[in-house]
Amino acid sequence: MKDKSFKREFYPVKFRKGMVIKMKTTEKSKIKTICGPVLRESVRKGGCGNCRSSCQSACKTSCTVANQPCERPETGE
Amino acid sequence: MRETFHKFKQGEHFILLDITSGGIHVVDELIYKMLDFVNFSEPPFKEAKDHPDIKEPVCPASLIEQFSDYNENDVKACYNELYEMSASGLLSGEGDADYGDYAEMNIGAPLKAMCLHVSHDCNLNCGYCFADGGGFGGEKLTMTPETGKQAVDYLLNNAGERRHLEIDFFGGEPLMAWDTVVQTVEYGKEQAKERGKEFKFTITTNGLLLDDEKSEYINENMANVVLSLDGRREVNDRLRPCLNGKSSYDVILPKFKKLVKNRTKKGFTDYFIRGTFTSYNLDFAGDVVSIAKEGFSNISIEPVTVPETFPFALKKEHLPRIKNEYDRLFELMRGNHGKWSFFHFVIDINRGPCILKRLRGCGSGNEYIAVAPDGNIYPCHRFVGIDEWKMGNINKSGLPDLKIKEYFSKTHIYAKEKCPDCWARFYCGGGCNAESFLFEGDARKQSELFCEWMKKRIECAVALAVEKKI
Ligand code: SF4
Ligand code: SF4
Repeated sequence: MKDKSFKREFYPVKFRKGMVIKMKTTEKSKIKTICGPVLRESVRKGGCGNCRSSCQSACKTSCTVANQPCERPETGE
Repeated sequence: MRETFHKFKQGEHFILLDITSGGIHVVDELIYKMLDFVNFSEPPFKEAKDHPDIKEPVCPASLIEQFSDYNENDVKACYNELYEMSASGLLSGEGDADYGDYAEMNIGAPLKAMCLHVSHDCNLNCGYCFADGGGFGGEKLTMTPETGKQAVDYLLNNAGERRHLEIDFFGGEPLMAWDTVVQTVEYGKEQAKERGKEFKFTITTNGLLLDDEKSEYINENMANVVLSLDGRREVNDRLRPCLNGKSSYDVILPKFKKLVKNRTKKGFTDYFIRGTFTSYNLDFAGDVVSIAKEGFSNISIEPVTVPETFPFALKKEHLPRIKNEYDRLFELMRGNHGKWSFFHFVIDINRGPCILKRLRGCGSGNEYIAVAPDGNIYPCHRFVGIDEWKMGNINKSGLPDLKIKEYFSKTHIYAKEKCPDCWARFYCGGGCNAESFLFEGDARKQSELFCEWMKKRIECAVALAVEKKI
């Protein structure tokens, strides 16, 4: 059997062998979470209405909603 | 079926999006492949969160068999990781039924932004102009400063509690109505102060009439400036010639350079060089590079939106080429050490807007309106001149056509034809209502072309953001 699938760059060298043992811990080696459940969290806070109006028309260079920053003032929440 | 996950490969990255939660994960190749064979709505994943005691579910023999050319322990390890992620709620695979409760929350939202068509006239002769030479299919008109000021009042009177308001000077070519621009800005600043509001002014110009005085004023007063240029000289001049047929590139480029140089010196980074690509320049990454070489760093090249009958229209058959070109831009941007950015590939995955905002990518007719030179109100700049969408006139007292406002306030992703089932729904927000109306005859029906390039750009943008974090 070949082990041809893995891109090793995400996980520490010490775990390259004995993966199953490692799996008993909570550390992930094959999945790296870049961004957590930000949308679910945003439901809790609700909308503040400060963000800019968005337009996706090609003639306006405003594009997607996702590339707009959230303008909610930081409340320390 | 409503998608709850989306996986894609961009560059060498295998990326998994948990659509409803907003989670983004980089996975390795085996997990990427395995995702086609696991079902998160079935056991053991379905119960994962409720049974934290099950640490290691048994990897099904069928899965080990399926990936028999991989190390068995690795297959099991991957399966376990998916389970653990699922158990910890990071791979929820949940539906978004509850988001629908928020979808109609901003019916009757106060106004936030206004596009002022200060001039329905233009001094260039662009082949793809949706404004039909500036006149939007009607007469060539200029907005008077009085109408501009009335528009400011109208916005302020209908903005409710909103503090941050936007006015965009558009056309035709807005510099042809410079006096109106200046008087409106000055009046806006004065009124904002009195009424405790803040205006962000922006302007979109072809630059032909720019001089030092106007550039200085723009740099002092406009939060953003969109400068139209298509890229390489020959590409630009083919569809953006002067009225006399001569090159506009040679006239405009030095003016843009000067404006941007002075703007950057003042510490303002918000500007865009904005171009259009057509079927004449499907190698538009070359145009982005050309603009970057001239020293600009914020670049946007947008697909042309004209009916298929135009010789340079973009059609379905161009899609593979367009997607390849976005891939090329992805490679160019990741290797440019931050020297320039392609607007559609810029995304802040951690500090993007909240879910309420994402249910509607377009504010037309509800929180955003456009005002024509004669004061007529339309849902947005793309609807200007279309009688059936006229909402009223700012010179007349009284509220705009509330039926139209209500229609648009209810035009969220769940009301659209394809969006509820589309993986990109919380990135895209449902597309451009006007484009849908103009090309599909229905503001709630997206054109396939639009969706295809939108999705490709989102994948590139997410991959670039991911790359910065690994
Ligand atoms: S309808 Fe299209 S052009 Fe008009 S505001 Fe919405 S996204 Fe922009
Ligand atoms: S407009 Fe198209 S790409 Fe955007 S969410 Fe709707 S279906 Fe998806």
